Amino acid sequence: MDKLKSALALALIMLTVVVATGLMIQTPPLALGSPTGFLNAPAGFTETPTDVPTSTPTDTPVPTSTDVPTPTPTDTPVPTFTLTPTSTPTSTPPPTSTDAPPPLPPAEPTATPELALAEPRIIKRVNLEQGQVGDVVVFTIEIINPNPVSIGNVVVGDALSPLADYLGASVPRGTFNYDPNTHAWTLLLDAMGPNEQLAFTITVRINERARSPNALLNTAVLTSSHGVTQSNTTQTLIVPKHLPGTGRR
Amino acid sequence: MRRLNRRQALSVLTAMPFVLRRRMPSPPAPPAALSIPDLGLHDAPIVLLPILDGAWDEARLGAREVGLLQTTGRWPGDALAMVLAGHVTLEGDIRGPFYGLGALRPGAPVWLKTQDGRAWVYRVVGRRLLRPDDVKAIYRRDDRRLFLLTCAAWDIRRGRYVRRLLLEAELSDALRPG
Repeated sequence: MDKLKSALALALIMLTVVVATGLMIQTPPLALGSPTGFLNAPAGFTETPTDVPTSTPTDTPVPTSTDVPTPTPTDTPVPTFTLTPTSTPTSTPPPTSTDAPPPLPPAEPTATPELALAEPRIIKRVNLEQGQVGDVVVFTIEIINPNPVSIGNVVVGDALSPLADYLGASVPRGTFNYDPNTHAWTLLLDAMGPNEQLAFTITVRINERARSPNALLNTAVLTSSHGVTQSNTTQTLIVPKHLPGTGRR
Repeated sequence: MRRLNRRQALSVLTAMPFVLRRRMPSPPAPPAALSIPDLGLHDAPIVLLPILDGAWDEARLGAREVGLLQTTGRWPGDALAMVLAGHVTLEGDIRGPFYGLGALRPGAPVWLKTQDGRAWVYRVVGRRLLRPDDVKAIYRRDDRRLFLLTCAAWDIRRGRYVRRLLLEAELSDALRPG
C-alpha cells in the first residue's frame, strides 16, 4: 500500500513537471520590435534581441485541472537587449514591426511662406454736409488693420483745406502735428496691432475765405509698411448765409 | 478696395442702366418750366439762380421767372431736393409767380415741364415758415422732394418780409405728357 501511494505521488509530481514545462513553452516570446521592447531604449540606439526563445507550438496537452500549479512570472524567459549606438538616426534601418513609428524624413530647407496681407482701410466722415462761415466742422477718421499680424510705420496724413482754420485733434494714441503753413496734419502711430481699429477726430472752423458756393473737400491718406491707402473724400458744401429775398413792395 | 474681375465688372456695367432707371425717374434733364394750376401759374420759365458774392442772385427773378437755387438738386431724381424760388410780390404791388403759394392745399398738383413738353408731377404735402437765415433747412437728401420758396410775413414797421415760406411737394408721376 505504501508503495502504491509513493508511486501515485511520484506520478503526480511528474505530471506537474510536464504540465509546467508545457506552459512555459507555450508562453509567447516578446515580439521583436514590439512597442514594449523599445520602452527603455534610448533614442539613437537600436536594440538587438539576443537569446530570444522561439515560439514553437507543441502538442503538449494542456491540463484542465484547476489544481495544476501555474508558473510564476519569474519563470517566464525575458529577452535581453544589447544597445548598439548608431552614428545618425536616419541611417538606422527601420524596425520591422508595423507598430513602430516611421522614421522622420530628413528636414529639407524650405522658404517661409509669405502671408498675403489685406490692405489697411481708412474711412473718413464729416459732421456737416452743408456749412457756413463760422461753423465748426469735425472730421472723424477711422483706420483699420484687417490682418491677423501687426503692420508697421503707420502714418496718417490729412491735407486740411485752407478754407478752414485748424482748432485741434483728438487721438487715442500716437503723436500728431499740424503745419499751419501747409495745412498738413500728420499722425505718427508706428505700428497697428492685429485687427486693430482706431478712430480719431480733427476739428476745424470754416473761415471767411470759404465763400459759397465753395466746398470743403477733404481726403486722408494712410501709409504703412504695407503701402499707401487713400480714404474717401468728404465734402462740406459752403452755403449762403441767407435765403433769397423774394418779396418787394 | 475690392477689385472686380472682368466678369463681375461686365455684369455691373450691364446692370447699371437698370439701377439708374430705378433710382431716377428719367435722364437728368433740368426742367424748363413750372406750372401750378391751382395758382393760375402756367409755364413759368425756370432759370438758374447762381450764387454771387456768397448770396443767391435774386435780381434775376422777375414777375414770371422762378429760380432754381444753385447748390440744391439740379433735376428731379437728383440726390438733393430741388428748390425753386419765386417772388410773392414785386415793387408796385405787382403779384409774383408765387403769390398765394401759402394757400395751396395738400394734394395740389405742381408740374415741372421739360423742353420736349413732358412733365414730372408733384403733389403738395406740407409747408413751413423759416427764418431768413435758416438756409440749411432747404438742403435735404430726398430725390423725390421739391421745395418751392418765397417770402412771407410782411413787417410794416421794417418794410420787408421777415419770414420765408417753404412749400413741400412730393413726386407722384414721373414724366408724362404735359
